[in-house]
Amino acid sequence: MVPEFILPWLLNLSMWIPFVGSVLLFLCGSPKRGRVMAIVFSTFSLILSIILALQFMPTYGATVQFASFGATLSDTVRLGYVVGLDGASILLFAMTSFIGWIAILTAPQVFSRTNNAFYGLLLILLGASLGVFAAQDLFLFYIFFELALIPMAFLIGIWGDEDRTSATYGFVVYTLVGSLLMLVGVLTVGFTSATLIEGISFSTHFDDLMAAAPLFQELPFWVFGSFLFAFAIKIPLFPFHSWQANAYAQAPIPAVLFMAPIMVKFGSYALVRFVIPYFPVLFEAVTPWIATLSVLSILYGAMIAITTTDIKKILAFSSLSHMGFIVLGLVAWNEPSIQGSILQMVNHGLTTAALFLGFGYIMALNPSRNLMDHGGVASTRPVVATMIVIASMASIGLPGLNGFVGEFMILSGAFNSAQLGSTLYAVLAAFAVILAAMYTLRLLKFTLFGTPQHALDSEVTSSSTLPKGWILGLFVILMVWIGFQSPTFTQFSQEWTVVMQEYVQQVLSDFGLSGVNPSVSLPSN
Amino acid sequence: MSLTTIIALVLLGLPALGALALGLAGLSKESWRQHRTPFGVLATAAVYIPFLATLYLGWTVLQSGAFTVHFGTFLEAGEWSVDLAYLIDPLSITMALLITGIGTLIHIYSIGYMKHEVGAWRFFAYLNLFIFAMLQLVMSDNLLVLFIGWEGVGLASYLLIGFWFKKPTNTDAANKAFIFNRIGDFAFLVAMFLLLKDIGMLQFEGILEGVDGMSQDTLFWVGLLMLIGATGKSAQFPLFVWLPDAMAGPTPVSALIHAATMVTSGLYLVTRLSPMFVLSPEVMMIMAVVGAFTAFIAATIAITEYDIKKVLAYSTVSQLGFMFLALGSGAFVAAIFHVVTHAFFKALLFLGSGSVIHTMEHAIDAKHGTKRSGLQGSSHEDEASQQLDPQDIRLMGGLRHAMPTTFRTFWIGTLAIAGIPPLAGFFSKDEILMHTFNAGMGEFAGPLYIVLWVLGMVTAFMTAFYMVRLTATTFHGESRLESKLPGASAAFHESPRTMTFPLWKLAIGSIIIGWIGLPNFVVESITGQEAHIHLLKEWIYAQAADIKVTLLYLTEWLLMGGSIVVAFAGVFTGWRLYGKGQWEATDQRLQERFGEFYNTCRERYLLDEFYQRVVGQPVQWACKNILEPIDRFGVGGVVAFFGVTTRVSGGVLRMLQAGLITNYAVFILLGVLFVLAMMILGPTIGGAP
Repeated sequence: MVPEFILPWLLNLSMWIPFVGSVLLFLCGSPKRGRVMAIVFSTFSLILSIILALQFMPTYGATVQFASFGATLSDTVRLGYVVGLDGASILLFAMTSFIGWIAILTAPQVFSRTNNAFYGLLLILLGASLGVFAAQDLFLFYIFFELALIPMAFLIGIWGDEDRTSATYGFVVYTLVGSLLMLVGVLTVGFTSATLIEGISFSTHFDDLMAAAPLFQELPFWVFGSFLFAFAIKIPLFPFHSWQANAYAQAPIPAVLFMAPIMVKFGSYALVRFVIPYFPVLFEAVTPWIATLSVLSILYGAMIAITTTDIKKILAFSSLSHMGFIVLGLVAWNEPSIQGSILQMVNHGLTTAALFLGFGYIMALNPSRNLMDHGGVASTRPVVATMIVIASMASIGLPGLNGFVGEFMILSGAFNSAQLGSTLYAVLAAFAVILAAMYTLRLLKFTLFGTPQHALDSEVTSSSTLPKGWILGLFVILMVWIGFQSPTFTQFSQEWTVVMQEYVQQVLSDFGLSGVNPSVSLPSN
Repeated sequence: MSLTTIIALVLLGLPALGALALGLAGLSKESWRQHRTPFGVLATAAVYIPFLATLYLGWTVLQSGAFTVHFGTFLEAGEWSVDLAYLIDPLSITMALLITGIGTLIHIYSIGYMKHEVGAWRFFAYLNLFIFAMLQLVMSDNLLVLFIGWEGVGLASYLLIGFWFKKPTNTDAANKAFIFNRIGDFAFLVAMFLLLKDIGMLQFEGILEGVDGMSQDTLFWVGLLMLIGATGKSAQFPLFVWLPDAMAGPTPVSALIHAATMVTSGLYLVTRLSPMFVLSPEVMMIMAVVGAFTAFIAATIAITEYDIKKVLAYSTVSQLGFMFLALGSGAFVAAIFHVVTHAFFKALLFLGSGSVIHTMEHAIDAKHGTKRSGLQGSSHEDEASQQLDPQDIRLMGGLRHAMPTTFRTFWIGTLAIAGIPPLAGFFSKDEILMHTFNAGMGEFAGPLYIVLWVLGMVTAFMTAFYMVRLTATTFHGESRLESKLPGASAAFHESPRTMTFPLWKLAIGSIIIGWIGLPNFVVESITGQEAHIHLLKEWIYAQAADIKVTLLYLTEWLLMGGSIVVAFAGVFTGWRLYGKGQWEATDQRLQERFGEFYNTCRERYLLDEFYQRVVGQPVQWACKNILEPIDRFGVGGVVAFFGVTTRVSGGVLRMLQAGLITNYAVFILLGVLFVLAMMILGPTIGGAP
C-alpha cells in the first residue's frame, strides 16, 4: 500500500517529470543520451500513473481523488493550479502515459531522424496531455490544451513529410481559431460563476463552475457555442475534420501516436467532463444537430476510407468514424452510452495507436504511404502482421476484443436514448460495422497479404534490438483484457456517470425540462 | 469451483489455449515453424479432450438436469449486465458434441492433409480458434456472449479461407465471406438493441420468459432481424454468395465450415429462441419461403457445376435451405436432427473430395515434373500456374480403382445425402418434409406451405440426382486425365491413414446416426400407443418448441413412401445418365432441353454480378466521385485560404530548420513554466491562501 498523503505528490510528479525531462534534453548536448533519458523519464511517469490507477477508488469515482493541495492566482481571482483525477479522467490519464511511453520507446524504430529536440518535444506533449486530463480548473485545462498544440506544430512542421507546411497550417490554424474563441468563453464563464460567491471576481475551478451551472444556461448562446466549436474541431466532427487527414499523413509516426490516440480525446473528454454537465439546457437544444453530425462523421469517414489509398489517411478517416461513435454516445446521455463512450475513448486510443505503430513498422522499411506499394508483410514479418490483424479486428468491433464492448454500450444506449428520441441514429451508426469491415479488410489485403511488392518489405534487418511484434503484443493483451473483462475498466466511471446524470437531470428539471423531450427551444433571456 | 464447472472450463477454454500456444510457438521461432505433426497432434488434443469433457457433461445433464456455469461479468451498463455464463443443457451439449466430435476427426485428417505445408502451425491455430468460437456460440446463456462466437467464427473462417494469402483471389474470397457475414451481423446487432429496449435483457431465459409481454410488432421485428442475421451466417438467399467462394481455403476448412459448424449457427440461434419465433407466424412463413427457395436454386446450380468442392458447397447451401424450411414449418427438432446427420455425411463428402484433390494434384505434378515441396512456400499456391485444375470433375473419372476407401465412403455419403433408407439423411429429410406438409394443413398460409412442400420434394429429387452425377463422374468411367496427360493416372494413390481413418468413422456415422431419430408414428400406428423411439426428440424436446404434427398415420406413411420413391428415382436417373462417365453428352442434352434456364443456373443466377452492379460499383463510384471531391474541396479551401500565411511563415520555418528549433522550444517551455509558476506561487507572494 502506498501511504495516502503521498498520492497527490505522485500525481504531480507523473505530470511534471516529462517537462523536467524535456528541459534537460534541450540543455544536454549528447544526442546518444537523449533517447535513453527520454525513455527513463517517460517510464517513470508511466509507473507513477499505473500506481495511481491502482490506488484509485472506483466506489468514490464521482469525487476528485489525489487532490490535496491547490493554488489560485489571488484571493479574489480563483484561477489556478488544481489537479486531481476522477472517474472520467483516470483511465484516460493512464492511457496517455502508456501510449506516450510507447511512442517514445519506439520512436527510432519508426522514424529515423530523431534527435534531442524531437524527444524533448514529445516529452512536452506527454506532460501537457497528462495535464489536460488532470486539470480541475477550466483555465488550467485551457493552458495545457493550448500547450500541447505548440510541440505538435513543430513536430509536423519540421519532421513531417513532403507536404508538411500546409498540414501544419491546416492543423494549427484550425485548432487555434477554435481555441481562441473558447478562451473568450472560458473568461465569460469565469466571471459568471464568480457572481455566486461573495468576495470573488473570477473563478474557473470546476467545483465553482458546477455550482454555477444554472447561471450558464442563460448566457448568450455563443458562449456555449464557442466551446462546442472548439471541441468539434478537436475531435473532429464532420465537417470540421479537414485538418485531420493531412496532419496525420504528414506527421512522423511518433507524433501521430500522440495526435490520433490522445489529443483528439481532449475534445471528447471536455464534452463529457464539462460541456454537457455545465450547459445541459443549451446542449439539449442542439442534441439533434450534434447527433446528426456524429452519425455523418461515422458514415462519411467510413465511406471515404473505402477508396482512399494513403495508409495513414485511411487510418485518419477510420478515426473520424470512430470518434463519431464516442460523440454519439455522449449525446445519447444515458448510463450505458456515457460509460461506453468513456471506455471507447480508451479503446480507440489503444487500437489506433497499435495500428499506427504497426503500419509505422511497415512504412519504416518501405516508406511509401500508398497501400498499393506494399504487400506480403504476412510472409516476411508474421509477428507484426498478426498483431496488426488483431488490432484491426478490435478496430472494427469484433466481440471479444475491446472495441466491441464500447461500441455495443454506445449503440444500445443510443438506441434506447430519451435524449435522442429516435432509434434511427443508432441504426444508421450501426451500419458502419459493415463499412468498417470493408475498408479495414481492404487495407489488410493490400498491405499484409499477396506477394511482397517491394524489396524493402522483405528486409528483415533492423537497427533496433527491441522486438517490434511484442511491443504491439502489449496492446493486444490490453485489447483482450478489456474485451472479456470490461467491468474491471467501466467500474471507474460508473459512480461518476450516475452522479453526473443526476446532476444534469436536476438542472434540466429546474428549467422545467423533463430531460426526455429532445425538442426544446432555447430559453429566451 | 465444482468439478462440473472445471470440466466446463476445460471444454470452453482448451481450444483457446491451444490456439494461443500454437500461435506463440509459431510466431516465436523460425525453427519451430518447420514442425508440422507435433502441432497437429497438439491441436487435435485441444479438441479431443473437450469432446470427452462434453460427454461427461452430457452424462451429468442426463443424471441431474440442465445447469448454468458462470465465469464473471462480461459487460455491465447500469441498467443491464451480462455474465460470461454458459448453458449446459441438452441442446448445447448436442451441438458441442457435434463440434468437438467431428472437429476431432477433421483435425486428424488435417495432420495428413497439411503435411507438406510450412504454415501448418498457423492452420492448426486457426482451426482451434474456430472450435473455440463455435463453442462460445452454442454454449452461451445470452445473446452477447453468443455474439462473441458468432463473429469469432466469422474471423476464423476469414483467416482460414484466406490461408493461402499470396494469391489475391483467396484474400478476396475471405473478405467477401467476412463482409457478407457482417451484413447479417448488423441485423443481429439491431435485434439485440430492440430486445434491450423492450425487455432490458439478453439472457435466453429472460427473453423466453418475456416473450408474452412483447408486442406483436416487436416480435416480428426481432424475429425478422435475427432471421436476416441467420441468413448471412447460414448462407441463405440472398446472402449465400460468399459460401461457394469460400472453397478457396484448404479442404478441411470447407468441411468444418460447412458440415459441422459455422453455417449451422443461424439454425441453432433460431432453435434456441424457438418459443419466441413460433409466436410470429409471419416470420416463420418468411423463413420457410427463404429456406425452400434457397434449397431449390442451390440445387439447380449444383447440377451445372464442374468444380468438385463447389458442387458440395452448393449442396450445403441447399441442405441448409431444407433446415430453414424445417424451422419455418415449426419443426425445430427436425432441423437440429438434419444438422446432426448433415454434419456427418457432408464432412465425409468434403474430406473425400479433399482426398480426391490430393491425388489429382500429385498426378498432375508428377507429370509436369514440378515437385510440390513445402520448403519453397505453400505447395498449393502453385495452382495459379497450373493449366489443369485438380478440382475439375471433367478431368477426373476412373478413380475408383486407385482409391478404394475414398470411393466407397464417398458413395456412402452420396446415398446418405440422397435420402436412401436406412442411411442418415433419409430420416431427417423425411421428417422435415412431413412437418412442412403438416404446416400446409394449418390455418396460417396453408396453401403456401403445400407449395413449399412440393418444392422440397423436387429439390430432394435433384439432390439425389446431382450427387450421383458428381460421384459417378469422379470415380466411374475412364480416367480423363490420362487422355490429357498420358501416364498421369499411374500416380493415383490412396491417401495416408490419417486421412482415411476419419473417412471410415464418418461413413459409419453417416449410416447409423439417423437411427437416433426414428419416426415415432411407425410404432404408434402399429401399437396404437405413444412411442418414444425418436431419441433426439426425447433429449432436446424442452429447448425446441415444436409445432405439433396433426396428420393421420396414413398420410404420414404416404409421405414417407413419397420420400423414398423420390430418393430412389433421383439416384436411378442420375445413374442412368452419368453412370458410365458420359457427363459431356448428358450435360449437353440437359442444356438443350432446358435452354436459358440451364444457362442461368450455370451462371449462378447472376447474383454476384447483381451485387457488383447494384451495390458494389455504385458505392465505389459515389465514394470516388462525390465524397472524395467534397473532401478535397474542403481541404483545398483551407489550404488556399491560408496560402498567404504559408508563404510568409515559410521563412520562419526555414529559420527554425536552420538549427534554431532547440532555442525556440526552450523559450516556449520557459514561458509556459513561468505562467504556471506564477499560478502556483501567486498566493504565497500575494498573501494568505
